[in-house]
Amino acid sequence: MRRALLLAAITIVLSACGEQGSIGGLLVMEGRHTVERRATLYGDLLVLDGQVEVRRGGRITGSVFVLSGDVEIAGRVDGDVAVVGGRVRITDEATIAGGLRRGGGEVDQAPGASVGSELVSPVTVDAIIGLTRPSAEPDGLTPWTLVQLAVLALLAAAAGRVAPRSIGRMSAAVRRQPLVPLAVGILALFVGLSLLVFMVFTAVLIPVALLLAMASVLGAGLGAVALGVLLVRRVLGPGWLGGRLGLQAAVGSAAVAAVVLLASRIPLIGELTVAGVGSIALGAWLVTRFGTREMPVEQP
Amino acid sequence: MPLGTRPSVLRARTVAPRAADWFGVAMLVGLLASGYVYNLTLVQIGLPDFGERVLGMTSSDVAWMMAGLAVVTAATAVLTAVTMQRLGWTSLRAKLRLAAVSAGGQTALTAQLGAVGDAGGLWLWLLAAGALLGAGIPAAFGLLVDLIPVRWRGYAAAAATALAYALASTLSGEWRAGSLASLLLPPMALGALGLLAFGFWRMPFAETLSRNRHDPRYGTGRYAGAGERRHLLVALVALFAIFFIDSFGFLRIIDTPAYLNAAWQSAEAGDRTFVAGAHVVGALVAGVLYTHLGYRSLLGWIFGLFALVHLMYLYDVRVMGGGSQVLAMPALYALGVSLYTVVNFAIWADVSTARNVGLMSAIGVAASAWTATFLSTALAISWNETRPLEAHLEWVAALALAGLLVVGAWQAYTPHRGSIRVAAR
Repeated sequence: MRRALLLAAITIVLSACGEQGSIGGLLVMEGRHTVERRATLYGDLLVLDGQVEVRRGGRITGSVFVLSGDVEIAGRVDGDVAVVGGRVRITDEATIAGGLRRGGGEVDQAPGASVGSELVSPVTVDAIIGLTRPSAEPDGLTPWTLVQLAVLALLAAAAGRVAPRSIGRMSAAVRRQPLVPLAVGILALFVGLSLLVFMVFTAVLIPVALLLAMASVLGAGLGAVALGVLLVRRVLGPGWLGGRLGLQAAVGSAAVAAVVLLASRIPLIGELTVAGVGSIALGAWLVTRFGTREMPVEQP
Repeated sequence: MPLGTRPSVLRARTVAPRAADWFGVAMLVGLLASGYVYNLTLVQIGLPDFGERVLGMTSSDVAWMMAGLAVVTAATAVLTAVTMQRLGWTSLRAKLRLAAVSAGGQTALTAQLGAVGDAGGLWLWLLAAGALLGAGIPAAFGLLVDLIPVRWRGYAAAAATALAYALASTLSGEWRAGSLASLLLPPMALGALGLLAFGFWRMPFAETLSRNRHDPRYGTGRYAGAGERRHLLVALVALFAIFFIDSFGFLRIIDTPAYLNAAWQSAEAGDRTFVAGAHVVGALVAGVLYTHLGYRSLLGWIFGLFALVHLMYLYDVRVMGGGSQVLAMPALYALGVSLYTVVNFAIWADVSTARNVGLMSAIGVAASAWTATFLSTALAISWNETRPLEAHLEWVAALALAGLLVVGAWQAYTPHRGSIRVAAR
């Protein structure tokens, strides 16, 4: 039990270490909330219900995503405003640096409002995924990033010591048939994202959605450690560092994270790399039944 | 032998493909994809438009006509397959000739569509089209044992599915019979001429390919032999249910202009490309999973996707008032459709041998795809006038969820431990 709890804690922390080192944003589900003059809300704002007012002089550094409820914007939004449902009022004083994307709901836009671009089209999953993207460009390999990589390596080493068999099975699955974890991961991402959004819509199932999301992030984190181990064993040989899984996991995970970080600076290739690595990691966890069994293979 | 060492055994037995093999693969992928594009666009979209807009028929009359087409196609497919088996028309040449006759006939019919002036004429046109389609099914599906090695069938099916849906989704911006017919005629005529040439002229690479069916790597499906009937039964029941759920739900969804115009018939090319992209991703994913994990690994995903997407539509109708333009719904729908299309393309040859592939394919496609289409169309017509969209979607979602539960129980009851079978040379 202690091992399982430690493993869960390690993986959650591992998974939360994104490009910016944190997952930023605010979820509004009920009540009335105000971004006052000269106040700044860092990250994205997801409005599921309730009322939100961004007063003149107030600022949101990320995007605003409105599924329901009432939103009034008189201040500045650095990212996009995406409206699926609810009511949004944009006053003359408002500035939306990104775009206004409308796929539903009601939007009352004053003629004097400054909007980067307006797109009246279906709001796609991309808009929802877009919420999780950092609103600023990554800074590259700063000292803070190196510290993050070091912490990640330590956590990966601990995960390697706590769950060596699970990581070994996931690693073997990716080594034997990399396309299978990739395919399962892609399907799981498509279905999982839609399922989570759908569950959030019901409001009642939000806790379940959060649990599912955490479990998936946990699994993908373990899968990423398995990818790191595989990378080290493929490049440097299985006996490198005395064949100790913990050390291999540390070096490999840091290398995978560094590659993803560097690739994410290149448009399109970066997004494909992040999506590919995330899909394989999640898929490896799923095809091994959460790391408990070998991946079954049926070869014609 | 440890499990991890087996793939190297597989690689050791793999023979480098010859140019003729690649040609055969390309030809079959093109044949399946073009046949499916013809079915998806002109038959399923163009004919209802022609009947309603040009001839002034009611939607109910047109739907009955489409159901009639399904019956004729299914019956002709089985009859043709039985005839092929009895007369020994199982060679590559015989199947190519039959496919050429089917393609040539459909090309001629498509060229004559504009001359149809009344409902009686359209009925005759549909009966002829159904008969030609039916004759082409055992021939086209039967070619898999001549042209596609067993280990590549999943990927070939994926390529055909991706190509078909990518073309159908992006090219069919205007869902009108006339424009679809003029768009399809040149490639159809070229394809028919090519098939006629391959079928009736002696060509060296065709001779090479005709020997493939005697090679177990081609001629014996991965599920043929022990347990063949069980696999056939599972595939028949599962695909019947899937075709029924898809057709039953889709008929009502595209009957709702807001949903149709936001995705499949959107004025924005980007929206149609997005749906086409989901189809392509779904096909590639299905190709990988079918090849390495088998068809049963896909059934749960297919039922699950259909359940999820119909619940999303139901939620949209019930809570949001309907007509939502969120592209996630048609994209998920496209994903599910591509998954089962890949299974449908590959499975019938994989439960067969070279001797009975035509009959097995005809039974499979007729009993699952066309019978399900006929029944769902007939039911949808009667429900269209008596039940609102919400009640209709409730049933479709319930059926998909029930399918998911049955598949889950079946897979739990008969756990899949994985197996590797290497066909002897």
